[in-house]
Amino acid sequence: MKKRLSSLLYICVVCIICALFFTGCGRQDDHGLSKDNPTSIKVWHYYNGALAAAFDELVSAFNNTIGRENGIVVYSESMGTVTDLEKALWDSANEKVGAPDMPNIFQSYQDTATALDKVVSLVDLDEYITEEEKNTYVKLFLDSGSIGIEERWKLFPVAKSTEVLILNKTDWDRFAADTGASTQDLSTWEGLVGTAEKYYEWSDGRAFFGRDAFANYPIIASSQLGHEIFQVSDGSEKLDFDRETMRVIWDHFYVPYVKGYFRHVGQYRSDDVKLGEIIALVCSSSSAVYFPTEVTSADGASYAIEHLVLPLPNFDRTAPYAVQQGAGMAVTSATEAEEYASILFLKWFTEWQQNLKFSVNSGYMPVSVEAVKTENVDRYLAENPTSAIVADTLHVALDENSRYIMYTPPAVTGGTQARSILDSTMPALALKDRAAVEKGTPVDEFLTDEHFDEWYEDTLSQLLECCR
Amino acid sequence: MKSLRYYILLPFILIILFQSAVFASIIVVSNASDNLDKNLFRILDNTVTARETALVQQLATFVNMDGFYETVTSVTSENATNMELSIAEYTADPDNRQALLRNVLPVMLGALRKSGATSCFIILDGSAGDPQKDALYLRDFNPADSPDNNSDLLIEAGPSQLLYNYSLTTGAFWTPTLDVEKDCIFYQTAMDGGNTYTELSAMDLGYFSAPVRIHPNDSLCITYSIPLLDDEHRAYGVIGFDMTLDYLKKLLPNQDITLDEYGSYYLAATSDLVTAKSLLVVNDTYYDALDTGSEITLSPRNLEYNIYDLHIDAPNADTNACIHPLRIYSANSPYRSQQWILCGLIRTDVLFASSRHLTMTVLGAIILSLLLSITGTLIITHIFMRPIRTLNSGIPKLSPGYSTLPRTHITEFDNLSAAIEEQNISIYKLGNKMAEIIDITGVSLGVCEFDPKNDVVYCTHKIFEILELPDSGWAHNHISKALFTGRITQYNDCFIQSHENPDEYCYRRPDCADKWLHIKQIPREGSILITISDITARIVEQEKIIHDRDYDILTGLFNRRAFSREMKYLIDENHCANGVLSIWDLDNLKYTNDTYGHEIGDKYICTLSDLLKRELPHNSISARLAGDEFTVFLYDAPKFQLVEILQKIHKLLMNERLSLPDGNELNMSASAGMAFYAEDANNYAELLKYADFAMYQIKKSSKGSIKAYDKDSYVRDYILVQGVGELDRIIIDESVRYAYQPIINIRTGNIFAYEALIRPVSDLLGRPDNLLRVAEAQFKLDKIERLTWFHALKGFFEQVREDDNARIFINSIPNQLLSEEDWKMLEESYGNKLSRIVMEITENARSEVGIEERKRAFCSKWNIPIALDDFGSGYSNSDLLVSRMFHFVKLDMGLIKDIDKNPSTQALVRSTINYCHENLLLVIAEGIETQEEYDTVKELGVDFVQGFLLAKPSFHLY
Repeated sequence: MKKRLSSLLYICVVCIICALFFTGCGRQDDHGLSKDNPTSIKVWHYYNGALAAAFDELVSAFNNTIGRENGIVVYSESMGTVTDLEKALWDSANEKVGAPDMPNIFQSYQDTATALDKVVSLVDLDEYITEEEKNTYVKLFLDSGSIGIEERWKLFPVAKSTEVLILNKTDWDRFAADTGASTQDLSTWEGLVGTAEKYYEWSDGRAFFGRDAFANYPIIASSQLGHEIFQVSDGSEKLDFDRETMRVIWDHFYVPYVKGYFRHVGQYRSDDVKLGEIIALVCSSSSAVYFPTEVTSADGASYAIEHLVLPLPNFDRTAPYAVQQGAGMAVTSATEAEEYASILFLKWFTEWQQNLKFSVNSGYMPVSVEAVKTENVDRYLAENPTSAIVADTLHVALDENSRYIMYTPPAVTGGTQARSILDSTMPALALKDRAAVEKGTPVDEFLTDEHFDEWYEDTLSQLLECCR
Repeated sequence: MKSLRYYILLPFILIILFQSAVFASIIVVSNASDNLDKNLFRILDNTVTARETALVQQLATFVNMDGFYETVTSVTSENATNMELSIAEYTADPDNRQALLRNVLPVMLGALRKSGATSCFIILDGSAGDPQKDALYLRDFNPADSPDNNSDLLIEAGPSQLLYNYSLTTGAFWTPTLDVEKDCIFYQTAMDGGNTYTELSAMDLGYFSAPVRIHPNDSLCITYSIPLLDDEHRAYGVIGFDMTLDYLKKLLPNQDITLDEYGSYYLAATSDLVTAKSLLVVNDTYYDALDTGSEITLSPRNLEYNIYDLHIDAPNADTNACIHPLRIYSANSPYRSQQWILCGLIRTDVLFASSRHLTMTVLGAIILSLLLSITGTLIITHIFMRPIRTLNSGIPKLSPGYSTLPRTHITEFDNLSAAIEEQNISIYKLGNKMAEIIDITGVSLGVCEFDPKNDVVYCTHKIFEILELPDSGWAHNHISKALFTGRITQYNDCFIQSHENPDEYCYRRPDCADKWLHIKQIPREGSILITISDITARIVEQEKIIHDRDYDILTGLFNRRAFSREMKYLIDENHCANGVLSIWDLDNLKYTNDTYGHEIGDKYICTLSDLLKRELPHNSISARLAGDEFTVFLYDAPKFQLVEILQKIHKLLMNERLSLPDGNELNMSASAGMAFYAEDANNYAELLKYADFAMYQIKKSSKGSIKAYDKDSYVRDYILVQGVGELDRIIIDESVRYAYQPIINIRTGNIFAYEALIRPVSDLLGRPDNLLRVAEAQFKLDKIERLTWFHALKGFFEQVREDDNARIFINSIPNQLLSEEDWKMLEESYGNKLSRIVMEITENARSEVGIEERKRAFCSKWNIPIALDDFGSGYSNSDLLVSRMFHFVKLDMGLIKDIDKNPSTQALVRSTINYCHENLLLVIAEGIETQEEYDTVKELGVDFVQGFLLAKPSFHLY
């Protein structure tokens, strides 16, 4: 009887082995990944041009290595701009007709991620990433990835940017040679305004300076001056739009602007430099790549220019502040395989070699501890020659990162809209008033307290409206 | 012979194999794999078709932008008209061109959005020689997304003024004008086409270019360009669209074809479908050989599904290209010959992976089912065979008699079982008869059979009788194994194996008499057959015979033979270290026998034997050697102890009194001799001889005592004892010969005489002195004297030549005299020859005067001179010379030896010679062995010499 049982058992085992063998039941990888049946991962971002190319190059590298080994195929799609991306995300999240499915990974700012998390659940990254792995990232960047009331870590840092000051060195040198202007003066807003005035006079009424992403100016400056505009503590939000602080900010942008020292023409200040409208700009470190190599006047005449990257100016006698921005990557809840594959991709993407490669190609700051080390950066740059402006910007940005207080505005209700208000009211007013000045209105009419108050009240009311 | 299993399994398995073969051949014949492959081609073809349709639709959008063209031309002509200029004149002015560009910008923005292109451009010719053309080149990297403002648009080339007005951004490589000298084939071709094909409308002259770059560092894109024609059909510029290759790649996802890296879409230009020039390969990682601009060769593989073989120079790169021509040019187009093709590429092994997998699966299924069927068959056969196996296994266990076999419940097999059982019973009965017959014959033979696999032991009843075991439980010739072994093992220790014969055992049970058993084990195919027979009677008989052979019947002691065997074992084979052998001789047994009769004699004998049996320790053996002779050997103890024991026994014997029928008592006495092993001798024969000698000596002398062997007396007396018989033999056989030694006249050197010297023919008494000693002891010297006279003379006279007058010296033995008859015989035989004899006599103290006188009388009668022998040796001395009458004096060889070195002897000899010569005696020197002796005696005046130096004694005279 015993013998019979054991022989039956033997037969069963043989059958099972045969069945496994002949049906070709492949090995199931961890988390449901399978080499034979790859998992597709869709990434939405708003990188464009060179950035998109750098991103796609890395995606392709991933697909051909780790992806192939683990059965993961990553598809990346640029959605154009932040706004486009957000719109597309909301369309997908709300399952609008014709809208595609939510991507597995999308680029997002804290506020958008926080809002989206309430509609489509985002993956809590702590579930997949060990404490040890977390330590390989710059802590500050990790902190900016925590969202929601519980401060769950849901945004993966990929690349961060800050703001730098870039000069058209060629024209600056001529100006400095004539006037003795020093780049030292450009370390403070006060000095910059003074230099701009000097330049205006020297150049027979040409503007000196312009800046991109205007909203960063009042947000950073206000914090620097002791009044963080958007405050979040213990889940409650607070608006601190301080009149005095705003007046300082006004005095150092609106005032020089209407006087013609500052200017903006095109959509980006790099275009303004390219067209010879200004010779200094503040822009995101990631935009430095667009800084022109020549100035082309409207008549088509052009001349080559050099650049000089300088740290962001600050108000005199204040602690240096700079914005730390750059969206993180959020992972939407999906099947375990997709979630795991997404994390695997992001981890790979932020390993310091890849991270540095992407940063260098894009002008972003890397997020991994190893990648921000000067020796690694220098070594990489030595081995992979890149454009001078990108290298210079990376150095300045990393310098700021170590010296400045890097500030990321918290995500608040209506944050995007509030930012848009801050972004537009002062420059729009300045543009309009400057146009009026150019048409003959005396400038003094715009330099009154009342005019400031008018702007202040208007802006404050708008802010209160959207932040309510 | 094969098992039944073989006959069942073989056909079954053959059927299964046949079935599988049929199955496999059906699959092969049905061409399933090929059909599947075709399907895969068809699917690939369908996929590419779908993608082709979409792509053509996209490209057709460019071709069909008639509205855009018309708007641009109408704006141009309107502007020109407003300035009352022809279009050519109008566009010749740079300011006008700038204005025109400004004016058409909104149109172009609309067209860009509508077309789905990545750019929309207008290039104005202006002055033909200047490569820098006024142009407006708008780019939208992501046409799929169209925000409300123009924030996603870039100006790659165009007036900067437009940036201010439309919030446009410059591209990274922005220039105010466009350089058409390099790479701008799309511009030049369109312009040339416009100017050349005057009969064709502008829309028919649309031209798709191979990938180009607008700026040297910009990304590659394909373009579609249409010449702007004025009323006179002259081209004044070009409008068109482009599509970056990056964007185009997105429109052609590889995943359509396969998810892994071995598939790709591929765009190429060809005119003959044999060679093609690459425009774009989407998967440029794996198919990097097909990068833009490279040439490839195609060969048809399956035209039904537009499959071509694509030759790529790479390992394992056999690639299928599903080729679909793109209809991008209308019938009127002059560029129609420049065929564009869309290819779906996939590596062959990847394409057919599923079909191969299916084939393997089917094959696997066949093998699996084959295995399962065979396994099933094995199991079924196993189950079917079980009852038969049970029956089969029952047969060896079938016990003789009325036992049954397991029933299979299969009629045929059960009938077979019944038949076997019946057969078994008959065999059993036959077996029982055999047992009865054995019993009747009275042979005490028991048989049993042990089978390790069986619980029962088959045995005859006789077993129990022989082993005296209870037979309860025995029935039908068998008994349970447990019961049987239980009883046997109880007496396991009682079986004592015989030394001589391993099959024989002494069965010694405390509760019954010893038995001798013959136990034989016969292994038989797994079982053991044991026969036990009672051989006690035979063994007893055997023992008796052995006893009779070795023991003296009267005394119960060993006989000579057994003793000799034991002694040889002990001594000759070195089984004892030391010992003493004693030989006992009962004194006066013969007398007792003769006087009191043999009954008393036997008692006498038994007294000693009883004493020996009683007193001897275990380290001894004793035997009766002959009538009154006993021997005792004690060994392996200190010598004195052994001697003490013997002395004690001797003393006890001496104290015994044997009662005689007449009421008197007879004192008992024995003589005993001892010899020690290994001091006296190290072999039995010698030891016995010495002990016997010692005993003999006692017997000869005192009797009634015990004495150890003494080597000295042995040596002395041995000849006397042993030589008696030999002497008799010599005398009877007359085994003596005589040797003759010449005696030389020293002056002449002639042989004067021969001395006859006796030479007995005997090993023992070969030496004359020994012979004489024995003869003297035996009082038989007279016989020797006689032999000497007769034989010496006979030998001499037979040999001596007629002319030889040599004398013969005869040694006459003192005190011995020939008889009168002998004298007469001599006289008769030799007569006058007797006078040639010289009689040598040796004088001694015991000489009997009368005898010598008679000898002398005889000598005088026949004139026989007398020589005094051995003068100077002791008995013969100068006194004798004086007192007797001699003719010759023979100086003893003791005097002659080394006489040349001994002056005192020389003086003695000289004086003797002088004396002899004075008294007319002739002197003979005996024993001359050296020349010096010879010279000395010659000088001393000896008359005759005799010795080895001159001649040795010889049986032959000459």
